[in-house]
Amino acid sequence: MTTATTVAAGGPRAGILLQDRNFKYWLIAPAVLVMLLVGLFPVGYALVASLQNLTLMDQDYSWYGFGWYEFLFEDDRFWESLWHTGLITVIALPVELILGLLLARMFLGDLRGKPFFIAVILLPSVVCPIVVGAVWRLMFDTRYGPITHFLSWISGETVEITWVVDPVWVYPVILIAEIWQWFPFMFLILLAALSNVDTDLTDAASIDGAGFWTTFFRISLPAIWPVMFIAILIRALDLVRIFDLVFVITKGGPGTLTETTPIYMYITGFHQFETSYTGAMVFLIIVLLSVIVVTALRRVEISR
Amino acid sequence: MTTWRFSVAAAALGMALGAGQLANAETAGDRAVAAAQKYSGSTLSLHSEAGLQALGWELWNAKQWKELTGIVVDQTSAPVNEMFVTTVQDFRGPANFDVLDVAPAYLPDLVEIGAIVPVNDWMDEFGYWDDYADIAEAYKGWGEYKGKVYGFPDDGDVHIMLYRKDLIDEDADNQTEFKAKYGYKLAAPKTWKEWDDVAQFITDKYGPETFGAAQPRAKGLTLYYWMDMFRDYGGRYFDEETMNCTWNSDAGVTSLTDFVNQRRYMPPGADAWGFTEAGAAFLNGDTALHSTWPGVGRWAQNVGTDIEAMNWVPPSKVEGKVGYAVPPGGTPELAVGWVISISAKSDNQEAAYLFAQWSNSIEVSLGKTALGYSIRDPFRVSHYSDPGFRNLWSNAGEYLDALKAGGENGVQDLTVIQAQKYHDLIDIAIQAAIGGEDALSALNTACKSADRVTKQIGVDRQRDVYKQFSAQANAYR
Repeated sequence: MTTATTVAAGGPRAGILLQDRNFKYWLIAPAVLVMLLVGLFPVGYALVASLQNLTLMDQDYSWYGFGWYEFLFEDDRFWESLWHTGLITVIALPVELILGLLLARMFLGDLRGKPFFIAVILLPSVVCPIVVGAVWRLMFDTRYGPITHFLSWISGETVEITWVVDPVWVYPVILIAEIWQWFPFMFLILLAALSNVDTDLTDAASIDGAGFWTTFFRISLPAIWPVMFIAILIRALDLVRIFDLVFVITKGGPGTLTETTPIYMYITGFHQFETSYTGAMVFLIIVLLSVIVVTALRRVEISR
Repeated sequence: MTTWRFSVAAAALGMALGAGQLANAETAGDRAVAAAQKYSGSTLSLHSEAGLQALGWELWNAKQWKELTGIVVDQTSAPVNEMFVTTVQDFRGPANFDVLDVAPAYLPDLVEIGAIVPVNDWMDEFGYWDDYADIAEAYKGWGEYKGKVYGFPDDGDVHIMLYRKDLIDEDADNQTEFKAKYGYKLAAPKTWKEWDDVAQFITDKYGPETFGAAQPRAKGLTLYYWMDMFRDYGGRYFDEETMNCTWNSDAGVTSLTDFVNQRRYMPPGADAWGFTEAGAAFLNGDTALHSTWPGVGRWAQNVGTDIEAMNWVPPSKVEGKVGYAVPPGGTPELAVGWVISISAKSDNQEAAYLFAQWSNSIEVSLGKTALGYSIRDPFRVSHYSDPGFRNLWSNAGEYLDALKAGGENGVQDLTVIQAQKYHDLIDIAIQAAIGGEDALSALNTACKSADRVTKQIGVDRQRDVYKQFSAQANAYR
């Protein structure tokens, strides 16, 4: 006896119930399937590749087990690149957030020419990071760069710092370029969020004698927190992926001092053709980021 | 002589040679043209380095080849550091290329994966051995691997030293002061110690207007300078028995330390300079010694820099003041270089070969290497002695003699399986040392990684290839 017979035997009411129970899933199934394919297939493929011995030089499809993962844990250059990426992230992210927040707070009131200034502030964010890297590399050029000239003028003696080679200065250069480009993004998001804070609440707090900081921390910040968290998350993920700006300014040098994980993965995958090893790195990074993002989202209960 | 006159002279030299080629049906170039007629109407895909290299192919070779044979040459190009990558990707992917510019250091890899084919049979069939024999000794091995020819050396990339004759050879005060200070005659330096002395002398006396020296030190380029110094100091890349990396030997550490210390007489910021910045500084009169690729030697005399594509090259302020010599040590690096090879996946291999034979032939290559814009440099014995070339500017003969000496005594880039990985590690070590890390520590780190690479490739497999490399006359001098 088939299900169809059972349904038919149950009459029209049973058929409608069956449809109610499953039909919605059939409707969303194609979209879910596409999302799974697009989202999960590359991850699955990276995992499979990481367990093989693929390189572009030798077409060897044999299984290698967890050999590349063992290799990964012994690869100082990979862990150093992760450290460099983390360093850039933990410095740039708070600075971008604070600058963006301060500026957004300043722009809350009525200002003459406000739209114009907002457009000007946003300009760096619409420029391609490669161009930003090239511009800042020129700005910091030892011989022709305006920054070196300005510092020489102020100090009254010739400044001869090779900014993009000197280990002391190379990170500040990268961070200045990075922050210059992306704090406007924070500014824009936070300005929108702050503009939507209910002014009745802040006015009432003021009338009740609450100061600026109390009002900000007790009313404004909780109100904008979900939006601010998403902005932080987006920028954090961008920073973990940082490639082009650093590549143009230092190519990861001097040595590998500023080599970020994406730069190292690019070199391994596309210059050294270590497909499986790159797959292992990719998979590990995906797992690490997924754990961090999911945990963070749960903690802030953003879906609420 | 003005710039336009140089260009006309270079073009006339090429045209005359082209005309001569047609009149004499016995040249290898003519044989290639005659044989290629049957492929008229077809298209060849050529992959070369982007920029001036691609321009040379486009303006000089592709145009003439189409007129002579009716075969169109389509070009794709990539930056020098991406050439090997894009070639392998093409081979593993859709495979569009017919003719390939291959850096000699990566030729073993391309042969091992089957990406390029031997050309010996075609050389027999179309009579190319005489022209092949004319290639300068140091370059000959570039296209050979395990007893077969996989391509024709086509670009005499070798470092040449440009120096300010007016300050070094011809200034009587400088001669006296230098002799008093250093105890020997001021002249173009022949050792690295002399290079340091001369450069320091110039910086002390003429800085900050003119500094002693500068050469490209940006990431991706420094390795070509250190590899030369390293071998001048007696260094060897590997222990031939164990295949352990020996870059961190005394020779390695001393040469790297000395290399880094050269910054004391260089212009501020020179540690970050690439080929263009270092070359521009010399053309502008900001430096007195410059070791570089040969093209800059022509630009220093404003040769061939008057076409639109060369607008980025600053006009030389040192025209007529430049002397040429082999860089210190006398065994300059045959840095990068190009070999024309035929893709194993080409659908039109014979036509591709004929194009390679024609463009590499004595007459056609001579015209191209005399151009300012092509940065294809002299690589044949006949190039060095050609009367037309030797008279392109007042001391062109001196330039060609320096290149000839380089072509006879130069040392080849480290050429083993997956050379790119070793080159990357060497470059990182040099950059780390320039950034302040102790030379020994930087080289120890590099060697640790290099040993791992060798183990991964297979010690025995790598040893076989390295033995072949080190047995060549141009591996160690």
